[in-house]
Amino acid sequence: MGGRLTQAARAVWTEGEVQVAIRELSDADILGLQQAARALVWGSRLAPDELLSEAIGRLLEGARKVPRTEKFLVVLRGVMRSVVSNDRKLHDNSRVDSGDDEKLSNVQAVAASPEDDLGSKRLRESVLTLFEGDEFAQVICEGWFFEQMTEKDLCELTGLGATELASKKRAITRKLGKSGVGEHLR
Amino acid sequence: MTKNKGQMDAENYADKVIAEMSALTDKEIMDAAAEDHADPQAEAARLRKLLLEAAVKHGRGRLEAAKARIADEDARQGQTGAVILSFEAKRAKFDRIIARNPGLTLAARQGERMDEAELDGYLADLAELGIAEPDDQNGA
Repeated sequence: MGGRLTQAARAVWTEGEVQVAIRELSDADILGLQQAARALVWGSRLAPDELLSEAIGRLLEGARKVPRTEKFLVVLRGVMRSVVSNDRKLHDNSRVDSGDDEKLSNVQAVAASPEDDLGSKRLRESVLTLFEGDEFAQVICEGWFFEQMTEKDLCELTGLGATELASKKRAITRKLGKSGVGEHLR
Repeated sequence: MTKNKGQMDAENYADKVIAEMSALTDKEIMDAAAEDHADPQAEAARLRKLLLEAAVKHGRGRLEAAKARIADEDARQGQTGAVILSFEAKRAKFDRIIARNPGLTLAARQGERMDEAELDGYLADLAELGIAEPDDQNGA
């Protein structure tokens, strides 16, 4: 019984289920996905619309197994994240010609190529350039995204309180999800 | 898999962005959308259409791939020219092969007592040895 349930929960989403789920999304859900897509594609070669379409395709391919009990919005955000991550990893399709998570996780310790480094460097530079003139935001981005600092560390570094920091992070995220900002840097 | 610092940075960035974006309220999302689009509802409709089209396109691709697979299987089956024979036809075929190959006396004697499965096995063995009816060799 448990085995059958697990199998059902891990089954691939069908085209019909995905279409119903898309129709059931609210305008805010959909615009939120667009904002997330814009923020995620920084430093990648994908456009936000491409990322959204690609994520639907990957979800239907079943390349990423996700429990059906999970909310569609959460699932789609996860797939979008995975697509961007794969795009950065698989800069050269000859390395692994698939978006399959299992195959990707089997790519054994591929040495960082100059292009890999370029991808993450481009991400860092594009994000920091976006906040040029706002030193606080740049310091927060650097620590939060690229130095993996804790909230406590960030508060100490910036001198901000927890609430002020949260508010600043929220503003940063909103700017990252805005259209057209820093398009030339991509 | 070993990740380099760049990959870890990119994944950490994506995790943080997703977590923060997921925490936005509908009002915050709509306010941000209003700054970007003159008509956020129209933009939402465009995006919904884009997502639905992506699903349909993928479904169509899957259907075409399935059709191509079936056509490929049909073509391969046609190439093998497999023909299903009745027991009587197999028996007759066996007899004809034996008649054309007088050296196979033991096979001829055993053939009298063979059931269908044994006959299948024997015909397969003969085919493997290159002993077949002229029609078989022509692929008929």
